[in-house]
Amino acid sequence: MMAWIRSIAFAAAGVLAMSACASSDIAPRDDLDRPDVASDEAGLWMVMDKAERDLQGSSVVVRDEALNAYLRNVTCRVVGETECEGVRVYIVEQPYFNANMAPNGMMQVWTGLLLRAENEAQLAFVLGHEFAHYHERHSLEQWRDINRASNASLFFSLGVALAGVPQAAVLGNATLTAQLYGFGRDKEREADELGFTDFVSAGYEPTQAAAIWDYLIAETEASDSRRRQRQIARSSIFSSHPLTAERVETLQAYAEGYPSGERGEGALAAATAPFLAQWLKDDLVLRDFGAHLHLIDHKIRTGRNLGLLHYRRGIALQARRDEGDLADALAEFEVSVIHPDAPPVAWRALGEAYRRAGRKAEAQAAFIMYLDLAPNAPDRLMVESYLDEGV
Amino acid sequence: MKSILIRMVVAILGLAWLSACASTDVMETTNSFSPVAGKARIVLIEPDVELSFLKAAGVSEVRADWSGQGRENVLREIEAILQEAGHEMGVHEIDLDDDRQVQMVRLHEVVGATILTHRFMNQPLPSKRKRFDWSLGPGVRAMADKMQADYALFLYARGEYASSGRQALAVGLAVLGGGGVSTGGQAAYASLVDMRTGDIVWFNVAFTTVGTDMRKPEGAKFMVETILKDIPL
Repeated sequence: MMAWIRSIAFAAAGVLAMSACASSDIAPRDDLDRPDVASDEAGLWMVMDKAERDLQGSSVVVRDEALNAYLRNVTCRVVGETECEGVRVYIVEQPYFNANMAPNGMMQVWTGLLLRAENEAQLAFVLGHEFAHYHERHSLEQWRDINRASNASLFFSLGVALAGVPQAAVLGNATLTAQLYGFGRDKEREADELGFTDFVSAGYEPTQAAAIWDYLIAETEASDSRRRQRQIARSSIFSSHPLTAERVETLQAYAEGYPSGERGEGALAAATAPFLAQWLKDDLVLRDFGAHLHLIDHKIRTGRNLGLLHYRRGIALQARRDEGDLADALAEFEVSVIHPDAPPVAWRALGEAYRRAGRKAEAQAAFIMYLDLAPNAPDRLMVESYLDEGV
Repeated sequence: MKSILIRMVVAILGLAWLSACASTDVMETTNSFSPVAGKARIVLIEPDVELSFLKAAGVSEVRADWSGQGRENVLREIEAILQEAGHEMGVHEIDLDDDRQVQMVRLHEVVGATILTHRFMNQPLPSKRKRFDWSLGPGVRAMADKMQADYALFLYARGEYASSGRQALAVGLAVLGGGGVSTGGQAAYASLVDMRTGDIVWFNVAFTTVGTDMRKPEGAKFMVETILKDIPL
């Protein structure tokens, strides 16, 4: 019986020893082959393959061919044609700034990123960064690290596993398992460095790597959410996903000494223009007026899509309803309709704002303009009834 | 010393007892249901099997090779059982290009998870008291014609197999008076969908423990026999 006890003690010691191992560096991917079926990596792939199938059937995937082709081109330009064969890009309609790449080659680009990138170079840098996580197999490293840190809280009971998996596979968590805890600072730094090299080699403007983070920090500072604002301060010390001055400075330092390259501002703007209205609408759902208005103002300064942007600015002010917001919204709609890209609904919004302000004649003119521009508007009957009643 | 010995025996006996154990929970529809007369055509939707390696620290790692093996074993056993019962059986791989089909499989996954959640996680639904009327809806009829099926059988299985370090840890902790260290096990649910109505006419959940190993033919046989025992076919 003592032998039993000894073997138990031995096993327990083994468990303790395992948790003290150092992190190992795994060789980067050097081919497009699937991992050996008996490996831990194959398990990660299997889980992500399922998540990918779920994503493929999901209504949040943007299926527009032109936009997908554009994103595929940018991705392949950054990571190279050969490597690009192992990458499948999915555009996901989610208002948050995010992109990620799973170990099996599934890349997700969220529309919140496409909405915020100022030019193709910034987008390319983020794609290069995510690709580096994949190429360096950070998920696998992460997985092995988690295994070493014997964390009992990671254990999910079978019952939970059975019932919980479909929910977990719902988008957003599709990066689950391996990326559950975010990558550590070292992995982020490495991805920044490699992503930077790829994107500069592809001929993009080097300063734009730091510029995207600069923009994000500024937007976060403008946020209504105290919690979101604090993230900046906190992340410099504790966070594992450092969106920090340090990271920005490092990227700025990389950029020094490189010749300037292509920004591709027009290219990104042209590819995303048809979706701008929808994505801004999605972003307003987050009800972070500070960040939302910061984003719109930033876009207004580029001088593009002014009709749409002023219209959306007015809608945001109307939704916020702070002191003076309704009057400001009216002014925004007035500016919006001057521009040729103003959507017909901007005229309706203007008409309603006039109506609310008791300016009947102007309201009537705006409503007539709306029905002229959108003869098949779903709310035609209602607008006609306003007109019949003299507004 | 004596108390340690007693605890150890209890712990080891516990493991041994567990190894032969299976528990099931059969649910049948409370909607009106008349089985297809005679020989039924059953389409078995590609079983979703995910088997993992439960490491000493409690981390569970999905193994692609085990999962593949388990899926194969389970498929073979289900086919054998249903053919023996005289039914016509087809195995269906999910056609990823067929949106309708993908949606049906996903819908089933969500409904299955919902049933489990409210049945086992202490969140009973007042509207489902004394009734089991879960359904995928009549939308499955389009699929029924395409697949030429009277019934669709779904199987969803998860298994965890402990490393020897984990088993030692479990015994060790039990000996020291601790407990609650899982050494793995298997859980599965199967559901039978009437393709005329979309109703889930029969649903069974089975938990089996360490001794029955889906990775091996006999373990898969035990699991499948357990779970299909009362299927109304």
